[in-house]
Amino acid sequence: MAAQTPAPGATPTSAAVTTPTGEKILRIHEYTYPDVFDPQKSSFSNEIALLHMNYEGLTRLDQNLNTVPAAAESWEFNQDGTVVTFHLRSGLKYSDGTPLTAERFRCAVERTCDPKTAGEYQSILFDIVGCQEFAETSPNDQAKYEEARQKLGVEAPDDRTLIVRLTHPAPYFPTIASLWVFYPARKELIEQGGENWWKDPKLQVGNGPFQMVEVVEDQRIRFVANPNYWEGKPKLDAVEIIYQKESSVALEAYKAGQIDMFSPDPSQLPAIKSDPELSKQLVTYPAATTIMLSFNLTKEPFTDKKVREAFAYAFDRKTYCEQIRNGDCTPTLEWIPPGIPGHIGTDKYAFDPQKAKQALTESSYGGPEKLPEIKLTYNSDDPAARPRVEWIAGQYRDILGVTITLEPVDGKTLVAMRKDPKTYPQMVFSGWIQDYPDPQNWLSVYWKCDATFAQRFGYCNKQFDDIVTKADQELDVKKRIELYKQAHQILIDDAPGPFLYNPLNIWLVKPYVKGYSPTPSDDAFLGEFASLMTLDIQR
Amino acid sequence: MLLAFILRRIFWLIPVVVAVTTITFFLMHRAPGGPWDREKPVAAATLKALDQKFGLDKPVWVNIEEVRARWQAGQRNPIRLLGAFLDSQYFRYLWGLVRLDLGPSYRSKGTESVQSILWRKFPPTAKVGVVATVFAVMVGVPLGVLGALKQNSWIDYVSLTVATLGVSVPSFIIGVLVIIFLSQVFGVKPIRQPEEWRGFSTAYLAPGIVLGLGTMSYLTRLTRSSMLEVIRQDYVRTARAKGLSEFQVVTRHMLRNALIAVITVLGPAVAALVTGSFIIETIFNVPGMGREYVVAIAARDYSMIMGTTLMYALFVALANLWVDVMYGFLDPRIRV
Repeated sequence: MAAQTPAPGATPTSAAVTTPTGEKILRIHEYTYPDVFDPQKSSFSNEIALLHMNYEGLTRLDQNLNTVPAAAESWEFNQDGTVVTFHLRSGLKYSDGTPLTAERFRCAVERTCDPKTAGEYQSILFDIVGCQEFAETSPNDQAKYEEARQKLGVEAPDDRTLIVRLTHPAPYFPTIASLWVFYPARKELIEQGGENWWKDPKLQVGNGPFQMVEVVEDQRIRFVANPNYWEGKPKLDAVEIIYQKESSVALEAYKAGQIDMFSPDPSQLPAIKSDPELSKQLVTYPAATTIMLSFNLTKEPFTDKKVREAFAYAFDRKTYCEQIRNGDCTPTLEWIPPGIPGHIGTDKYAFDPQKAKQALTESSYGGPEKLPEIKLTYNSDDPAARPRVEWIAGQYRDILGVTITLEPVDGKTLVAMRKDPKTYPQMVFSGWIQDYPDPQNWLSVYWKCDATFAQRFGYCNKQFDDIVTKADQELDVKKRIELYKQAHQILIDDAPGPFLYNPLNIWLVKPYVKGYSPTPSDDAFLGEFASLMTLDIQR
Repeated sequence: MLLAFILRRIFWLIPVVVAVTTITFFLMHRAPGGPWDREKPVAAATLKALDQKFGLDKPVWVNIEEVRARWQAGQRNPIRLLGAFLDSQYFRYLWGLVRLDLGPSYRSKGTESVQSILWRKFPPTAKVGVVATVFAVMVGVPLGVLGALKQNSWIDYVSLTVATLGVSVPSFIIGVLVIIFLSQVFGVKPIRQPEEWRGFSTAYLAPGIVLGLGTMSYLTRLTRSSMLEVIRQDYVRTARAKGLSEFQVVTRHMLRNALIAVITVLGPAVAALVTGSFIIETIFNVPGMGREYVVAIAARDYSMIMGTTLMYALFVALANLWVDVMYGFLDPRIRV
C-alpha cells in the first residue's frame, strides 16, 4: 500500500506537469546524494542516473545495449566516416511543450566543449573537430575564445538536422551521442539560474521520459511522468529517489515498505539469502565493470612476464568472489565483460597452482627467494578492504611462497600515486566502469600506448595499438568487432595483471515492481538504461 | 569589568583564527591529491581551465614567479610588487576571510559558496546538538547526583551501568539499534520524511539522544565524583548543622561547587555537539553539516575543509569564553 501513498507535502513545482496523486510511484533507494546534476558538468553515476530520467540524447541504449534512435530518428556517416548527420524526430517537445530543435543539441555540445564550463567529461567529445582547441582556449581572451567557439565542428542547418564533424572516422560516435553531455539543457534557463541553476527543478525542464519536480537536498528527488515525451507517457506516474547512506537503515526501510528497490551491501548478503522472504526478492546480474589486480610494468619484478603469469595463475577468483566477497561478483579472465562486444570467453591464466609455481621457476628470478620486496597497495577508505587483501597475500604466500607487504592509503592519495609510473604502486586494484558499451571505450581509451591509463603503469604494445587504431576507424561492424577481439586477445596474452571479476548488480526489489529489463550498464537502479518506459507497479 | 573581559577575549579570537587558518591551510595542501583527481582522470585542458577558474593555478604560499616576471618587465613600484608577491592561494584565502567570503565549494564544482552551504546545513545540525545537550545535562547531572548521594546503593550501580554503556558502545551501533527498535516496535519509519527536518519535530529526538549519550555518561561520572569530593567538606557539615533542609544543602552548597568541573567540560562538549557528527547524521539522514567535515577531506574540497575547521574552532573558542564567564557566577572567588 505504502508505494501508492503520496508523500505528505510533496508539491509538484513544474508548471507544465502536475502530479496525479495516489498513483503509481516507484521509490528507489540511493546511497549518495549527487554533488552536481548539470548535464555538461556531471561525472558520477549517481548524477547521471538523475539526468538520464530527465533528459534524452540523440540516441539511447536498448536492453541489448545496442545504440538505437531516441531524439534522433536516424543518422548517417559520410563515406570516410568523419561527418555524421543526425535527423531529429518531428514534433519533439520539452516537458513544458517548448519545441525541441537541433539547435538545442548544438548548444549542448558547445557548452560541453566551452572552457568556461570545464565539465569533467568534456574530453569525451574531443573527437569533434575544434572541441579540444576550444576547451584549451583561455576564456579571458575574448577574441580567441570567440574564434574557437565559431570553429567548433557542429552545426544545426535546420530544426531537425544536426551535423557533427569528427577529427577521424569514429563509428562509435552515435553511442557517444546518447551520453549525458549531449542532454539539451535549456540555455536561457541556465542563464536565468546562474551557476546554481541545476538545483531548481523549474529550470531543469527536460525531454526525457520523466520530469524532475522536487529536489530536497540530501533527502529526496522526485520525478513525474512527462506527457510530452515522444514515445508517450511512461507506465509509472512518478519516481522518487530516496537518499540514505547507511545500508542497515536502508534495509530496515525496505522491510518497512518505505522503498521499493535497494542495492544491499555485500556484508548483508548472507543474512538476506537465508531469509525466506527477502531471498526471493533478490535480483542479480553482472555489471559492465571489470576489476583487475594491476601491476606497475615499469617496476621489478613485474617487468618479467613470467612473474606476471605466475601471479595470474595463482589467483583463485572463484573462492575470492564466493567466499571473500560474499558472492557479489562473478570471476573473469579478461578485460571486456560478458554482454559487451569484444568479449571472448577465454580460459587463459585460469587458476592453476601448479602452472603458477612453474611460471615463477621459469622467470628470471628462478623462484620466490630472489624476488624483490612486493607491496600490495589498497584503498583504506573501505573498511571491508583489509580482510580481502590479507586473503590475497595469504594465497600468494601459500601457493607461490612469496611474501607480500600490505600498504593501506586513503582514496585520494591512491589516486594521486597512480598518476605517474614512478609512484604507481607495484600492485593495486584497478578497473574500468564503462562509459558506453563499445569496445573502443574498453580498449582504445585504456590500453593504447598514448592513453593516460596505460602510461601510468607502463603498458605499451605496438601490435595491439595498430589493430585497435584500425578497428576504431572501421565502419563495417563485423570486421570492427573481429579486430577488437584480436586486440583483446593480445592484451590477455600480455598478462598486464590478473583480471579478476565483474561485480554483480544486486538489488532487492519488491514483488509488485514489474517491467524491468536488466542491462550490464545499470548502476544506480535496476532497469536504469532500458526500462524507464516499461517499469511498472502492479499489485 | 565583565564586558571588558569579554571584549578582550573576542579580540583575541583574531590571532586564533589566523593561526588555525594557517596551520589547516598548509596541512591540507600537504595531503596528496587535489579536488579534481578522479579514478578516471580529467583531460589536461579541462584540468587547466578548472584550476584557473578557482585560482588553484596560483602558488600556495607566496607568488615569487609573478614578482620576478614583473621585475623583469620593469615594474619597480614596491606596492605593486608586494601585491604580486601576495597573489597566492593562501593570501587570497585570508583576504576572502576578511570579507567573510569562504570561497566556492569545489565539490559543487564552484556552483555554491561555502558560507551559503554552511548557513543552510547548520540549523538541522544545531537542533540535533541542542537536543543532545539538553538530554546530556538533564539526565547526566541528576544521575550523577543520585549516584553520589546514595553511594554504593542500587541507584549508584544503575547510574554506573548506564554511564559505562553510554561511553563504550559506539554510536553507530546504538543508532542503528534505535532505528530498528523504533521501526519494529512503534512502526516509526526508518527514513524520516524530508519535511520533518524543517522546523522542530520528533524526528530530532532519536538522533539527539543518541548523540548526547556519550556526553551524558561522562557528565554522570564527573558529577558523581565531584559531588563525592564536596560531600565531606566542612561547609557542608556546617550547612547541615545550622538546620538547612537536605534539599537546600544539596543544591546550594554541594551541587553549586560540584558544577565547576561539569561546566569546564561542558563548554567544549557543547561546541562538539552542535557542530555535528558524521555518523549520527548519516544514520538518521539528518540534512546537516556534520557530514561535510569528513566528505570535504576525502574530496579535497579545500575551501570546505577550511570553512568547517574554522567554524569548529570558533565554536570551541566561544564555548570556552562562556565557561570562563560562568566560573564567575558559580564561584565568586574566581575573578574574570
